[in-house]
Amino acid sequence: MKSSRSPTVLIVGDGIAATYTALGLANRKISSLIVCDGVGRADLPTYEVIPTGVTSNGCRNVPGWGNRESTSVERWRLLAGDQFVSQLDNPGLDIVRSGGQVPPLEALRDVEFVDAFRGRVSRLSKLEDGGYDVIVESEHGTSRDVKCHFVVWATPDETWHRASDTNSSVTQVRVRSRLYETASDFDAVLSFDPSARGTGAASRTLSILPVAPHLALVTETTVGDERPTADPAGSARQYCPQTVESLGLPVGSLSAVDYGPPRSPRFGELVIGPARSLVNPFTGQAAYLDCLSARSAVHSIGRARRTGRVVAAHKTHDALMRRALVGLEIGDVDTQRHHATIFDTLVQSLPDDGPFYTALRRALLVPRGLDALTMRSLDAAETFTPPPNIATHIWTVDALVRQCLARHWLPMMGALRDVKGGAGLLRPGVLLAVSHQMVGGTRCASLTRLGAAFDLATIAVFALMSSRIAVPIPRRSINLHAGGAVLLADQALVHAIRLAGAYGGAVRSALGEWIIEVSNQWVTGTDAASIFASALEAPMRFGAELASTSDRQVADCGEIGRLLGAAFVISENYLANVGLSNVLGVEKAGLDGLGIGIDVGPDALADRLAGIVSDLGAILESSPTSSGQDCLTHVVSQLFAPILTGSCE
Amino acid sequence: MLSATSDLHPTVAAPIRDLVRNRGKSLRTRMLAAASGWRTNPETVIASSVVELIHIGTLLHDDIIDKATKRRGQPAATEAHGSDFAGVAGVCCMTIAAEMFSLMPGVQPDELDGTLNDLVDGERRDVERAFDVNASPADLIEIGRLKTGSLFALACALALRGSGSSRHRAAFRDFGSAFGAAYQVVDDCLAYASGTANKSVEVDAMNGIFGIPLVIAASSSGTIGRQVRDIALAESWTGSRHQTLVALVRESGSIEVALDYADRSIESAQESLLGCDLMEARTLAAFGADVYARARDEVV
Repeated sequence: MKSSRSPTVLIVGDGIAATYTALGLANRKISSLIVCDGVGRADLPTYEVIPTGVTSNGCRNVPGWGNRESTSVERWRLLAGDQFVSQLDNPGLDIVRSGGQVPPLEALRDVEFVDAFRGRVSRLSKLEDGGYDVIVESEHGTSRDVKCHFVVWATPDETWHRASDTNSSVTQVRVRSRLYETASDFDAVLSFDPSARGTGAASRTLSILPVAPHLALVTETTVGDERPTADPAGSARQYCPQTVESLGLPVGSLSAVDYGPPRSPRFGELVIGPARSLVNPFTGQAAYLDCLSARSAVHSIGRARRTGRVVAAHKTHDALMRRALVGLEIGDVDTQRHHATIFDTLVQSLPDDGPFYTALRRALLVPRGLDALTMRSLDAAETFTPPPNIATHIWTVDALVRQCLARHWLPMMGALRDVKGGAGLLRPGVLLAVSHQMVGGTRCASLTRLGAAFDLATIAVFALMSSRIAVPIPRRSINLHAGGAVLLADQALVHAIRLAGAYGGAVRSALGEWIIEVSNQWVTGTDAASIFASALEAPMRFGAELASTSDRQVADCGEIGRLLGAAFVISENYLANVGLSNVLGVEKAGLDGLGIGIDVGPDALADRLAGIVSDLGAILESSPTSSGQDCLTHVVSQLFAPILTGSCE
Repeated sequence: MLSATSDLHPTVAAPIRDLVRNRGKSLRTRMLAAASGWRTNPETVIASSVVELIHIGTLLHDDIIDKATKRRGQPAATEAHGSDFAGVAGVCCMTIAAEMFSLMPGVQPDELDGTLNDLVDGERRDVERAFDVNASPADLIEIGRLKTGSLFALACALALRGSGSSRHRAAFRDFGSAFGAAYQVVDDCLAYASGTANKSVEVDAMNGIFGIPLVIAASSSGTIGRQVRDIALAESWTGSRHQTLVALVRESGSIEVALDYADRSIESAQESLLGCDLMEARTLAAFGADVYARARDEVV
């Protein structure tokens, strides 16, 4: 396939970012050439955009997005024009539309600007006049020499392709799961017969399990290699399953994919979307950043052409991206992960200039980091919905924690994310009030400061126990991660001590004893389930004691805390095991490098969890009915029941 | 102090005990004793332990942040025990100190809260200003007041626990705070005045944590200022560059300027005690003047 003329811009990729760039350039009458370079979103059978980036309504409005057929030129244009940009209901896209207007999509069809060329860039060199000389090879073996002024990368680099190929070459049992928001319940279990496709020796099972009235857990199990024996060298991507049309559910390769480091731009090329690791091309996570980076690329190229400063285009692009991200508001649908993604993106773009962190940067970014961590922007897709009787307490505790940590130095945010500060129900600050209510206590409102003290102390301890501190910020090869954790721990500890002090010396001392107990356990290599058992036992006891209840009830509450702590660790590991990692942010079995002390197989974990929940139920049944008991039942049903009822394979 | 750590697992206690045994100048403890009129009793010992435990906690954490390899001539806790254990030991130190403080009679909870808050605030600001050659000397003195002065202030205030008026306690705190700021400046100057490559100063400079003499030198106009800024902000770092940097700072005359700032701070410290008619105020002032004079002499 050859073009009759040289484009101004070569765009590598054919996904959202590339499409949006081409669209923007077309509107500016700038010619471009699209090169589909290996795996792109359009190649993937995956269709999953649930928890981040695009809302579930948006997902439903884009049927077929990601299907392989979209790689045909006409289909691609239609998808880009009719399905993607105009139909997504994410209000955040108003930001990337100019002035809130839908882009003039007609231009995409009317302007003859694109020459889709399925192939790859085999050589790219910078010319003396500032332009580029690119050799593009097609899958049919033909090659083409393209001269252009700008190169925009929208696909990750070659190493990523290889990794994804390896990932797709199924040679062992893999269990992959995903939560889907749906309009109705599902209880079907579907089985695919690989022989019907006549491909290989793989067997595949698809399970759709109800999680909540509006959520379905889709689990796919693949055993063996489904590539045909006649074509062992063929890419496994060619043989992935198709959408389950009858259910209207998007199903495909659901395994967690590390979408790799950003592509390193050479010669001042512009790097956008997945190539910059802004977007997960497999899940669509943070797809709005596709559009945002594409728009910056278009502006940069337009400005560079006007001013004649072609070589400065990539710097302009970086500056525009940063400015846009700082001010970006996704709208009412923003979630924790929206904020977290933007925060990480900004922080990673910051260290190149001047002092690391200025007061201005802190003022701009810290609220974003905190939004990523607290209840205020709790992801709607999360299963943690606070019951009404405890919601006020949680909001107040969170507000206090935010206030205490609001002066954070930025890398602390990375550390804070690591220790999962805030948001969930199973944390000491919340359980304190739960146990207080459970034994008939009525001083819940006065316990918010103590709740925040417990949460902050937890953050302090776990920040230092965490073996992985996020957000790398190197300069002179110096890694500041550990410093961030220490600063976070100190800040959190100081405020924990201060807040606990308001309840008297005895409470402050008791909090100290609790910190030391958890620390001692960690040092001695105690498993995570036991550490969390201790971590949640103390606040449960505290809440009961502050209600002046009987010793028996205090002991019961403590035992409930222990069981909840252990159940929490087990359920987290179970979810990690069945592949929910990229939904819930659980990255590996164990807790930040801590062993969990038990067999990590899904069945063993589910059995262990069932035993604990049974014990919990027995204690709860023997307790008098109260709003606190309702809350605990709520916690158990929301967090653990899906696992116990689903028996995911 | 050793008995206070008895509840800790030996692995957590080890970094703390190393620093307890390998004590430094014990300035804070000695200042507390001076502010007590050199009278010692069990309460003074507990108060000293609180101050020293907080100090050890901050040292353990500072060494992680600064990636220090040595502390008081010995391998830093991060080297000897690992950053993870040193970090948790630091948290435990401060926690134990808070517990001990809670049980002390005649103390106000906000005295400890304010000190810890200032320490952490200073620690944060110190890292936050990394690679900022445009920081003003006043900014750095304020950081010194927070990071160093706040604990001296607590030591002075604890010496008067249960005795002395609130005015006296405030005066003692002011003295400790200003003394600490002055002492920090002199300590910075000492690192450059010796003329030899000081490892801890080099690590600080490499991390972008510039002392007050360097910042003053960088702000000077002319060739020296430009050279100092170029080396301080260079992407690459070598030992020879640091030696050049030290030589430039000495040549710029910024050490003398920095000492002027320290002198003004120590004068402010002495002035804060002028209205105190306590005998302890005299012993405290005399002790502070003596320590400062010795440190300053070492520089010049």
